Amino acid sequence: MKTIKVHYFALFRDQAKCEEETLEVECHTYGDLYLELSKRHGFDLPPEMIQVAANDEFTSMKSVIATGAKIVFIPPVAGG
Amino acid sequence: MFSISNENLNRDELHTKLSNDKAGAIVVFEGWVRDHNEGKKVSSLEYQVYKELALKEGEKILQEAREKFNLHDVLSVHREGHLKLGEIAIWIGATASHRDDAFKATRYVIDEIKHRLPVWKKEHYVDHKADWVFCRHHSHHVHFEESDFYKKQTTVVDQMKLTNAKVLVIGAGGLGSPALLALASAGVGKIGIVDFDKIEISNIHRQPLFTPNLVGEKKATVAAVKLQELNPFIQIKAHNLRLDAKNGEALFKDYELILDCTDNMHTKFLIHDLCFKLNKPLVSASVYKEEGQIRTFIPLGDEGCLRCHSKMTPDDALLGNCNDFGVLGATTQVLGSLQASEAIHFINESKNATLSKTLFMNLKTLFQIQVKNTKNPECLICQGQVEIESNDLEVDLEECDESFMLLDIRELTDEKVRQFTNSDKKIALCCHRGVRSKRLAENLRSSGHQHFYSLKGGATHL
Repeated sequence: MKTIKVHYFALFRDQAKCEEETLEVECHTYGDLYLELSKRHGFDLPPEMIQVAANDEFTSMKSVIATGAKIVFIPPVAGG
Repeated sequence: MFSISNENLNRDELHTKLSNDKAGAIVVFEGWVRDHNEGKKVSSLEYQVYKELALKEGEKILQEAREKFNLHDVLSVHREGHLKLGEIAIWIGATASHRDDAFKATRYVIDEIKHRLPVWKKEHYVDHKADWVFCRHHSHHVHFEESDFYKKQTTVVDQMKLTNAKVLVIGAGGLGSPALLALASAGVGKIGIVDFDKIEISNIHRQPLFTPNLVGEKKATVAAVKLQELNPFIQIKAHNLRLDAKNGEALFKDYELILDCTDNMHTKFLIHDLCFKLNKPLVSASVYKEEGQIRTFIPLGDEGCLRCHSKMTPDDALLGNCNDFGVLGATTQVLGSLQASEAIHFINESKNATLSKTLFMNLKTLFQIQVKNTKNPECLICQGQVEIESNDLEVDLEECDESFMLLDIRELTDEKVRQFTNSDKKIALCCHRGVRSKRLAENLRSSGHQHFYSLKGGATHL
């Protein structure tokens, strides 16, 4: 089990109905985590449209989750 | 009296209006459409006038002439719209008791009109593509020193670098308006504005360049006129077009820094990919409700691209835009100004803060994070290997390969066509002559369905 903190932006914050949450997770990669959170919060964006940052650094969905990481899933935003 | 006409001018009628037994002289000046300019053969002209301002300014000029010279009357009409060779573009007549006043007044009026009136001229050439010609002489009437304009910022930036800079701003909307205002007032020497859209009443709340009296006018043109008014010392060019892979490549070549102020994913990715292909730095921003993000990209740099870590295929239908989720003008203005600020620092120092870190901020809670931009060493885009899929609205039949489905819409309502928004294939709409299909494909794309195309020329062309 790893303890992580997830922060939500834009569309994700609307769908998760919170700005951040601390979670205990067993999944391996950030991609796995995204799928798990998609189920829980009803995120409808496919993972290939998302960027992920861990500890304030862009990383790959395939990377292994770091213990204690502060994770942000970033949906593409198009308004202007 | 000063007026603007969209019809051929009748010189006899105008002449009669000035008849006066007390006058000893009339001097008439007529500006004509000539068949050449700067070595190119001109076939016709198009004048676009910022009417509200032009009428006020024109009347002011005539009043000045009345005050300076001893006149009985002075009259002037400027044309707008499409003009053929030999047509009168401007007519000025002044009557006075003595010829000297009439000569001087006419000369004064034409010179001032040339310098001060917000009029845009598009020249159509025999052998070249038509082009908007901006009369830089507009600034001649300004009796201010250029150095005074920038006096209070030269301790912060190198003004010469800004004067020499060429920046292209794509989108003159919520982000583009404040970005353009800041860039123009900072004195960026050449600014290009790309926008195909017209001013709409429901967008003005976040577009401080525009006012309700200008609804229906072309955004890029009006923006250019307003910015030229704001700063007469710089060069501004309006590009009234919808950016695509083809025209984008030609357009980007004339600029050295690009600002993405658009509001849809598809164009954002096109701009991003074009910048990496053509090696142009890019400052990109987006907003969602009260949140915004901003990042600067340098192709071939060490900071990566949008697709370094994921494929990131754009899908506007899934994301929505400002029209769907709503946004405050205050939010887009902060982000747009920030884009200009980042652009100015980049011009000044070849780097800025959002190059190394993407900034995400919430304008309501003022929460913000900065995420370090990282590069995937295997990313092909970062190595300059960019393939841009052509997404031109109009396609020829030859271009329609197996990825396309041809849809005959001649007997289908718009509603029926909309049922194809979930298709996996690209859909080329075919109508009688390609007019309705183009309009419909354009509408569908505006609502996020980028897989619609229009068959050029329609069925009659097959």
